[in-house]
Amino acid sequence: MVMTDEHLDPRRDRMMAAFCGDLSKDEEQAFLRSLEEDDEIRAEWEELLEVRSFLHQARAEESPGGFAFEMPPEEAKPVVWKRPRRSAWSLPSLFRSPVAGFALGAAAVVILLVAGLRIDHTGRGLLVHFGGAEPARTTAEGDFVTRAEVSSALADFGQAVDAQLIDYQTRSRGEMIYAMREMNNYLTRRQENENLLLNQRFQNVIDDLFQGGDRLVVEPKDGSSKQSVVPVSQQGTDPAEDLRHE
Amino acid sequence: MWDGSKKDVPLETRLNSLSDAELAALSQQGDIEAFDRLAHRLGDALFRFVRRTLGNDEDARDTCQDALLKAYQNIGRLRDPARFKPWLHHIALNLCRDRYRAAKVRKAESYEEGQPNEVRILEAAPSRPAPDRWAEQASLAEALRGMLERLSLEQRTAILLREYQGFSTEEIAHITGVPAATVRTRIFYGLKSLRRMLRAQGGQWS
Repeated sequence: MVMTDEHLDPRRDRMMAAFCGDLSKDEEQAFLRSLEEDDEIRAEWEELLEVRSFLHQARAEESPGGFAFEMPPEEAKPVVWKRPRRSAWSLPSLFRSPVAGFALGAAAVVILLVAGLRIDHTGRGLLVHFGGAEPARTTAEGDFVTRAEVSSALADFGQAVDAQLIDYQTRSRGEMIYAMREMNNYLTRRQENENLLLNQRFQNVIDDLFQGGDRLVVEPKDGSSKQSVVPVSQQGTDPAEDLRHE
Repeated sequence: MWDGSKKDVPLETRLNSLSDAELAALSQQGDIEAFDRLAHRLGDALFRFVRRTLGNDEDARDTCQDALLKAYQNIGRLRDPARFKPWLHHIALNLCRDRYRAAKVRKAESYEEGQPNEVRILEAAPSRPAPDRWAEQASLAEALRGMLERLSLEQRTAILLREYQGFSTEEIAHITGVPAATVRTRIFYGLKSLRRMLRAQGGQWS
């Protein structure tokens, strides 16, 4: 059997492209015309068609599939469904990402500082103003940011940060569960392989121990003192097979 | 695209009228009914492909179930819903490869552990009927199965995907993860091998 994956020579590659329907109509016509001058390729082409005919004739006789997919239970529902695509520059979508949200916040703070934001503490609260100009000396309530307003703004900010963190954690947890399932599958497969190897070693040990009609003492698992002695000849034909079933 | 406002149309009819890509897109949004319809639509063809690849019904059923389950759990990762069918075959093929490898390991272990009789049986497993038994073959389908089993997994897969599943060379390249030229090479040598087997068996089937 030829196992090579090396690419075919150009003539045969073109023939296979025609066979697989990869050529345009014109290219296919040109190929079929070329067969009249190339006996070797023509013979191979006819063989291919003959095998294809066999494949489809045999297929017609094949029994139907009869496969019925069983939907998995509700708990097996996918952890991660496709997330809706976000438009590239939508501001709300940027804030959904904690990193982008914090970056924007930091940028805003830098801009405000560069612009000369100043916050002074006065006897009546915080006075927010820009630049080096002397703040207006006024007692009007509206010119000052009160402690209550600052507290409220901080509370809002805290809630927004919490919401972002919860959203991020929820999505991370979903992906983590999926990763853990994958890991569990991998470990199970590895364990099965190791069991096979272990059984093989047991087989070797058993073979070494019971050569020449020795007897195997079987100790009960329940801890009782009752023991049974089984001649090797009366054991299963394949001790390793028995171990595997345990 | 599917219009969810057509509430007076029965669900079954509505889903049946959707294309595979539309069903896959709905499945990505969590519509289990859509995925179920998709699975029933593609299940039989997938099963026949896997059965021909693995060579027996029982393994094929398990593999198909696993493949669809994997697709169901990971459909969120499918970028283009229109490519659901090749993607599903890609998953199934990977599972076939796993089973194929596991079977080879089991066979090697049995060879080491087994009695001389067992060894002979295992060696004879890929059926190679003698020419005089050719006429006794129950059907062409069985003959085909026997011959496909003797091809390499790569060649067999490429031929099955092309001839029976109707995938283009590009799609097969995508499913199997090799260049299109390699797919053509595999089909070419696989068909040549089948041709040789047919000749050895007596040549005429029609």
